[in-house]
Amino acid sequence: MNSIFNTAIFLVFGLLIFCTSCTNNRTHSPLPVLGETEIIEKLIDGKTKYDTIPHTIPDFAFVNQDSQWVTPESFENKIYVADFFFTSCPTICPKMKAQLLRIYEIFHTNPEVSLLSHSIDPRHDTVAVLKKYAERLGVKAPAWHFVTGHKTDIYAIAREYMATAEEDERAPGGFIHSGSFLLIDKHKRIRGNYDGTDAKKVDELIQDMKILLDEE
Amino acid sequence: MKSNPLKMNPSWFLVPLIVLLVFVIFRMIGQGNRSPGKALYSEYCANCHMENGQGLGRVIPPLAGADYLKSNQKNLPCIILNGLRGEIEVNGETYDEPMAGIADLTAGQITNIINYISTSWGNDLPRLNLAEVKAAIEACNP
Repeated sequence: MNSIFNTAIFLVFGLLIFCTSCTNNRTHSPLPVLGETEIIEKLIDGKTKYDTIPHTIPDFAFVNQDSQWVTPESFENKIYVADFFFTSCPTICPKMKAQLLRIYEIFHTNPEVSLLSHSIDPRHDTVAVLKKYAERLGVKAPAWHFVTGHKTDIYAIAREYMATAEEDERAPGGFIHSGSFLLIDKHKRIRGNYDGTDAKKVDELIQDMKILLDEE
Repeated sequence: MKSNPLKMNPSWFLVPLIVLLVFVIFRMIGQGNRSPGKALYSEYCANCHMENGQGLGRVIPPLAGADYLKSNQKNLPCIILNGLRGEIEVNGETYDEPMAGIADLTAGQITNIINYISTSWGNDLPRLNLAEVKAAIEACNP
């Protein structure tokens, strides 16, 4: 009798512990911080201390479809999704835009969310071209910025976002770029990297955006 | 009752086995007939017009239920081969993003793609045959 009682108690506790830890990963664990961390030296009270700071998106200045400057200030108190594309892209870009449209439809009335699409072909994708493109997709800034700027600046910032973007005359359209969507939090940290051509990955991104909005 | 399986009349299971094989082979052939157009569409067209033929906003026109297909069937071979520039109207919307042609498709492949598009997503357009597509390609303006 005693052993049966003990087993029963053990099972009940076990079940309780199991059930409370048995939740959807995406609703509980905090999102990771991606990118290489930097270690900086500090002198405090004559002693050298080391601090680890996470990778953050550095300063940038681009122009959007409404001829407005877009800088980190444009995303103050916002989370945003960044990607790299070009309007004449014959391969992955339409799928990426279709997926971003899904995100736009869900979040465009939320002032704490924005989308930032960088053109990697600034020579062709002028402000006027981007304006027309955005209009034809039926979207508006600041919920969705389409930006252009100096090619070197855009390619440099792509590296900071851990996205690939390069000219390559052998590639269809003349550019190689990854279909990544990068999720950026309110502190300019990369919290997720998703394949923007995969609807299932974008489902995960949408879940993660909701988690991030709940953070702090 | 015990029966020795090795002494059973083989035609007991051979006949249904052959029937099954024939059935499977015919099904595979049937699928093979259908899949070239779909496979070609996925490879060459779906990037822009999407797997479900919906297109993208007012940037890329739909193919599903597109009135343009009906009134331009004869032009489709040239459009697929050489692309399309200039403004067109599809289901009441205007589109003017240039479409890239795919110059290395054969007439047979183009026929398969057109017939796939014409009979998918609710589209019910007459199919083209190889001779018609070849003739259209001969007459294309480059």
